[in-house]
Amino acid sequence: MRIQDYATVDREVLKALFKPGRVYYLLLGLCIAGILLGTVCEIYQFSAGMGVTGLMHPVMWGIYLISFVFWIGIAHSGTLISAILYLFRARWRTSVARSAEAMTVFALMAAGIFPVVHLGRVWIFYWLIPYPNPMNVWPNFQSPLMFDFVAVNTYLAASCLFWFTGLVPDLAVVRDRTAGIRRRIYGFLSLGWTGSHRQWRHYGWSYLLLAGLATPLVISVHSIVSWDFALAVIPGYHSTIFAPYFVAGAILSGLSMVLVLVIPVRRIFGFEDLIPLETLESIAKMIIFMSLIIGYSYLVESFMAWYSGNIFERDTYLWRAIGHYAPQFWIMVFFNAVVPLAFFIKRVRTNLTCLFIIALLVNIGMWYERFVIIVGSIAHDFIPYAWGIYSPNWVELGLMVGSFSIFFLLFLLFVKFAPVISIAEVKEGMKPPTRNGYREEKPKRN
Amino acid sequence: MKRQQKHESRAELVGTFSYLDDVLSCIRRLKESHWTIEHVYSPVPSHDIQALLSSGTSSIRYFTFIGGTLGVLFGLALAAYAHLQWELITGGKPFLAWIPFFVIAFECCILFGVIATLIGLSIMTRLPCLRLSEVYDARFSQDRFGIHVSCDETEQEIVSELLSEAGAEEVRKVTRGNKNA
Repeated sequence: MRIQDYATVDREVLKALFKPGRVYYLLLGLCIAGILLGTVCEIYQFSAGMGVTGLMHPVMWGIYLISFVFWIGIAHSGTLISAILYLFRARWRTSVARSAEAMTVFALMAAGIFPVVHLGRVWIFYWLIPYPNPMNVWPNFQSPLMFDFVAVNTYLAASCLFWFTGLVPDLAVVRDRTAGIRRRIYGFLSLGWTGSHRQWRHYGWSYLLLAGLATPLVISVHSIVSWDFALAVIPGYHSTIFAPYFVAGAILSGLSMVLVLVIPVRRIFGFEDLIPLETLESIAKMIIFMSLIIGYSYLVESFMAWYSGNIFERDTYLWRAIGHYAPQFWIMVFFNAVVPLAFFIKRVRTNLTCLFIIALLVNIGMWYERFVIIVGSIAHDFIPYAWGIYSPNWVELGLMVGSFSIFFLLFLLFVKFAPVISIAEVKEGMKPPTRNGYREEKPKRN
Repeated sequence: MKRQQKHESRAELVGTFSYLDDVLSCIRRLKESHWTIEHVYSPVPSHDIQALLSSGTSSIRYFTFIGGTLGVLFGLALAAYAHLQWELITGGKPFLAWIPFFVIAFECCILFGVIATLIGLSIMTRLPCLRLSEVYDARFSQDRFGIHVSCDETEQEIVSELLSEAGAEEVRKVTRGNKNA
């Protein structure tokens, strides 16, 4: 069905909010089961101590940090699509921006579990919060871990507020199309929005300013996360390329996760007219670009390790390619730097199955990239005495499954309770209803 | 009492339109008259409507600027204060290492800027408003436009006729008594 008028947009987008089918409840059940598994693992770890994990000298950062960096990375593309592409006036982003921003918020929530969980003494997590206290204990603001705390919380707050602001006019649409208790709830959430000219004027400016404020966060937050490693002296961590390398990797993994989420949503709810294939193709083109940057980063890292003449650096990078974690390294290289290049072929990037599979492979590859960087470096640093092998066990893997379950559960709930596509922005991109046809007046120049 | 009397002598009418060009021509005609355009409702932001109503730029940007500036100062002050409490040399850096403090200041700038922007939005749009005005029609969020005009009681008929001639498919008089959001 072609979307020809505003009423059709409302009808098409809001049909996703109807009573769900059995598949939805099945997926919901699986997510809840995953969360329960994660909860059991955390309770066990909390009561028995960090020794129940696979973490052991020298590898004291394992699955938890990998998952943390993975989820923070996923979050970045949401802000790229909803904020940065908004500033660039990329029209194709309209139909996926809402889902992408929701992905950001939920990914940040999933990421936030891990700094707490991997502390061991979870109950003193609040010491990271800088508040006046009788002990006069303050965090060390010179530490990259503290940069992380401030940056990730800022990103979470800014993303939640940006996402909610974008939702307000659409929640008003849902309010006006429902009745009873649902109407009251959506009425409360829509803050009494009426769409008057004053509201639209201030709203438009606010959204622009929020997009402008969120944009530097895309660059800064993952740069700060990368400095958790780059500010250490471990060979394989201590590299100046880390900030752009991590940001590029984050955008690559995030774009792939957008495809993983949007393709099924598009198919299940019949959003083919609202999310045209050209939108998915545009995302695929961006994936090619980020993949090329990542491939370049891999080459530069290896080249600089050799060129530096630093024997420790050279050995670490060689060990990545031929050592114990070589399979993970080559999965990383192949899935991130080679497989996405298939999108150069138009038939591949316009085929939904190929798009979905390649996006999944990229996500797997990016998870392994964090594994290779985090574990691969500290497992093989300066002296042979300090070398060791790390194997994650069921506790860590259970918590990781729990984080994926939280993410997908939140997204499933979002799909059912909020408009997945930005109704106001889609309508704004359409030709307005006119009786006699009109031409938009351009501002006069003196 | 005087205010109530003044209010009672004013009438408020709402015209509901299906077409944007009708709305624009109606706004032009109302601007040439002495009647007050209170609100124009639309399902989407319209640059044409904003241009006709001479809306200009929003002052929310001042909130953002002030919030961001306060954020930078707060971030620097917080980090400096925390480090001056113990005066320990950590990682070979001095007590007040401004380069790492810049990271904290930058993030606080963004955070305070975002919060200040939303405070500004809330103030300027007078949201949240949990009770919807009687003027509002649920169709305004779907595919209809609305023009809310106030005039003297005696001029009601004239204004109503003007709205109808401009293309309003419905013109109704507003009677006050709030409805729930």
